[in-house]
Amino acid sequence: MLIEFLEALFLLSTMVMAAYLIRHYLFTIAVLKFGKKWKTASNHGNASYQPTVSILIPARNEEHVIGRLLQRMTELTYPKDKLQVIVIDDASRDGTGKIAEQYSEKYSYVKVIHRGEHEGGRGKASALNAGLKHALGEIVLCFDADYYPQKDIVEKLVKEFADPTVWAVQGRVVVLNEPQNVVTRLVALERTGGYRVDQEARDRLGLITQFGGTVGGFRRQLLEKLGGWDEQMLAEDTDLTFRIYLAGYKVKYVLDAECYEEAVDSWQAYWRQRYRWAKGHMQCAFKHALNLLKSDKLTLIQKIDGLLLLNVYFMPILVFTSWIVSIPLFVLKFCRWLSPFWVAASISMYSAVGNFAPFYEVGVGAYLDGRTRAQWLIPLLAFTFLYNVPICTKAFLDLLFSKLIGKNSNHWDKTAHFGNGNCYIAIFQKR
Amino acid sequence: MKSMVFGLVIGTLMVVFFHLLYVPSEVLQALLIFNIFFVCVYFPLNGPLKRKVAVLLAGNVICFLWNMMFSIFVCAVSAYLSGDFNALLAFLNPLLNLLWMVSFWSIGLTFLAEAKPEGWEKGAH
Repeated sequence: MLIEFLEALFLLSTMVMAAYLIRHYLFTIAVLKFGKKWKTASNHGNASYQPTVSILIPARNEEHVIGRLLQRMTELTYPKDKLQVIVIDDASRDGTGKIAEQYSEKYSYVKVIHRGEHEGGRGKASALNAGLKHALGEIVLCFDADYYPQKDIVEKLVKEFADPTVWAVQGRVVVLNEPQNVVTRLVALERTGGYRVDQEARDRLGLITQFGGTVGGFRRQLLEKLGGWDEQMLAEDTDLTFRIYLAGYKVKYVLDAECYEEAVDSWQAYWRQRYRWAKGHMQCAFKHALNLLKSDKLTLIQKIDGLLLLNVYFMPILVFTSWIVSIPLFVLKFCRWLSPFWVAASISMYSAVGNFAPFYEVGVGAYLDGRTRAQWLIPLLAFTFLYNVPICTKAFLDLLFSKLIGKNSNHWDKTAHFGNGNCYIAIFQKR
Repeated sequence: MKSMVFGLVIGTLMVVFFHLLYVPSEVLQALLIFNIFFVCVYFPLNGPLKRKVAVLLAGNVICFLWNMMFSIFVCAVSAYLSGDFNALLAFLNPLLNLLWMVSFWSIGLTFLAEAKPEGWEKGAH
């Protein structure tokens, strides 16, 4: 009985993993085959469409980076009379508020909201909701404090709203401090796969384009209709993405709207950030999976893609489980249903060809970006995958435990930024 | 599409060549999988055909050497240990093949990337 159960578990997990791998291949092949066509066919919105825009910048203890972002806000090419920049100083204990105030005094379109200890520090969603109350623009954009956008990013994002069916947009995230060390280089590769291939393919194939929480925006009307950000969610961006799609709206991805982020630069920081993402994603999976399946606003393909997206952080756990299960089943030859030939053949195909899929996606992303050396580190992404196994397992167990005891454990472990990207700004300054 | 067909022909010729050298069947299988797979993921990319063929040939040599060494290792181990360990090696072999294939493919991309390095690769980083 136990063997049959293990076999069934193995087959099920292999099928789910195969679905993810096939998705990687499909996305990559689609971008390779149709990428140029999509680029030329794209109408790139309406450049003359210039509505009023509010930019929300939540900031908690960001004194090392907030100055460069606010300086960049003053350099944006979007008409300043249609721009409102709102900095939400979320109970900072450093000089963040003071730096923001200096810009506010100098530039009339910069506004600072100070949140005290009693109301602030409850996470990004809470800070964004506080900022939203002050937003006057027709369009609301969000940027994290450690980001550094292109000068014309507002035009690039906003022009998509000329299309009345577009209710939300997402731009591309590129790592600013890529050369800093191996962690930042690997994060940069992950970002390349995610934004150059994954998001582009999802958008063009009419699937679920993910709002990444920053470098993106919405019609204010939509945010108000949805009730803003859910403060109970750790991955407030993924949650909002699914709320948007479940309400019958869509997110548009704008590949050429680039923003440069300061990536985590140590394995400890990587752990903390991914742990928060994993737990938040899993929360979203519990919250939205059923609604997604029942929705009459989404197509079958969108539902499948949505489910794969929602459950993506369960993958490392699933892979690890299937490895554990496969050892007694196949190596010790306990398998009863499958003949040894098919077992060996499927393992070979799956291990060698299937597992190549995520590397393929990242490699093609780097290739399309014209990178000539970055892809040499691609094999090391296997290490980051292995590192994600304990991260996601811990996130899952913590979430399960908190659900069992009925305790809300949504502690927002904020990523600290030390301005390590400042020395690389010069390269991106003219863009 | 033409370059892919050409690549497949080259790959098939390489497998036939190694077959004539009486290499073990598991090495031939690995070569066959490598050739089909590599042609599918490498040849559709833009770049000179000569370079693609050169990289494919180099990959065949590495694939042959790697799998021959592994095959000899398995033979040596199986003389001393039980069949269970062989099963474990058979299980690990595709994963180990994957590691060198990913590394080889990623380096191979460098030869095809249109020389338009941006950002970091533009400077002296």
